[in-house]
Amino acid sequence: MKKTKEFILRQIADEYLLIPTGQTCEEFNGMITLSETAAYIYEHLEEAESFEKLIEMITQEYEIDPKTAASDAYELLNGMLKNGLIGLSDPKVNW
Amino acid sequence: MDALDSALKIEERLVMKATLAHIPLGGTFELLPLCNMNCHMCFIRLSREEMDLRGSLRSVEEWLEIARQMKESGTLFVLLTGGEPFLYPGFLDLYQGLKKLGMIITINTNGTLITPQIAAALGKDKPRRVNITLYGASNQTYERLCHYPNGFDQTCKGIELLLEQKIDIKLNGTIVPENVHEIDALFEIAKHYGLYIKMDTYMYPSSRERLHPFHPESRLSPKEAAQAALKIKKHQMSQEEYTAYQNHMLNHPSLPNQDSSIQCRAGKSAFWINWYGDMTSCIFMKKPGINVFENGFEKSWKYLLENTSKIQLTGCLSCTKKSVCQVCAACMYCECGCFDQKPDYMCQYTDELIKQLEDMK
Repeated sequence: MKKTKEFILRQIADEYLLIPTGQTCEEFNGMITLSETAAYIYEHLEEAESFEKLIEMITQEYEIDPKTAASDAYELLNGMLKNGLIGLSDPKVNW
Repeated sequence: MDALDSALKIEERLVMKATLAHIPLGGTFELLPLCNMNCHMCFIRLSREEMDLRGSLRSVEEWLEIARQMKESGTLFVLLTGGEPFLYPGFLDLYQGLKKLGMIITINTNGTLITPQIAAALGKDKPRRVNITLYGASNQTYERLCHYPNGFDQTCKGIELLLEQKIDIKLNGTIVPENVHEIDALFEIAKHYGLYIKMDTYMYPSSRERLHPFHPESRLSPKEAAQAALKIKKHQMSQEEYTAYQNHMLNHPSLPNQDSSIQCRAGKSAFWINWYGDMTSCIFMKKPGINVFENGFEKSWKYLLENTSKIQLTGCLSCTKKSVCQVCAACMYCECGCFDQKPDYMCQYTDELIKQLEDMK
């Protein structure tokens, strides 16, 4: 997966925020709030070469079972894909 | 005038959390005292010669270094103002540098110096909003009030250039003797451009570092200011909202409010840095103040927090109209020079508002 929009991730007062910058401000000039785990996923998704690797990274970082992590991450990534925040970096393997 | 107004829901939550946790969420950079206009009531503007006698402008890199420190402390919203900020050398470099840090930027300007190039540069990486001060609805008023004969036409041109780039604009202004006859026309202009307009009728009698004192005749009398305020409310409110406002003002709680602490975000989650680098809790208060370029941001913010919390507004403690009066620490400071006296102008203004609303019933 790769990020397709220009956002800067900031953590302020226990809130995780995506702040649009550059061309992204043309489409959206507000801010997006994320949970701590969602912020972790957004920040690290380009480091993972597959969905399974991403789940491994999440379970190493947080005390969460792989099944729940996969379910939550799947929902989040789908939402981000649907809203154009991220895109497939390798369509052959659907990642 | 601050970087946090018209907050959205997420922003409201952030502001509330930051205020409780004393995080410096919003700050203003008053970049320079220079302005191409010269308004009667301005308390910031200096000529180039006056400015040179007092100091010199801080560089883009100096401001960015403070901004990096602000980011570490949690600042998200930055308001860029002046003087006229588009006269600041390197304005766009500073703007772009702040954007790269993840700051949400608002710009206060008179709008007259916005060129197609500036508008295009802002359009490529948009600010949250540009606040344009509208001083009147005609070139004649700009000449009388701002000593800038074609100011109205130039401001309209600036608005149009920003709208072409789809940049959010808010119109701001203050009603003074020179433009009080144009209230209806000001709202017509806002309607023409499809913009929100906020007009104030209370003017803080500040002179700050300008050489001359505040001239009382540069603002409306309390009676005139109240009349203008109600006229503006009729423009802004539906009949239902106006009736609710009238009922609120006429049926306010009569018990005095014993809370004497500062009620706004100043020095709790908001701060102001003037072109010297003096960091204060708001634009009007000189004290508590500390030079941020000499002391660094974190130390300066701690100083401001500690010393702003000591301010007690005791001048209005026994007043039964506190709940309907817009008195604040800055108002007391500017009107009385202290926090333990009643600001007479504001008392008269509030009394007039209530009286005129009663007369309308």
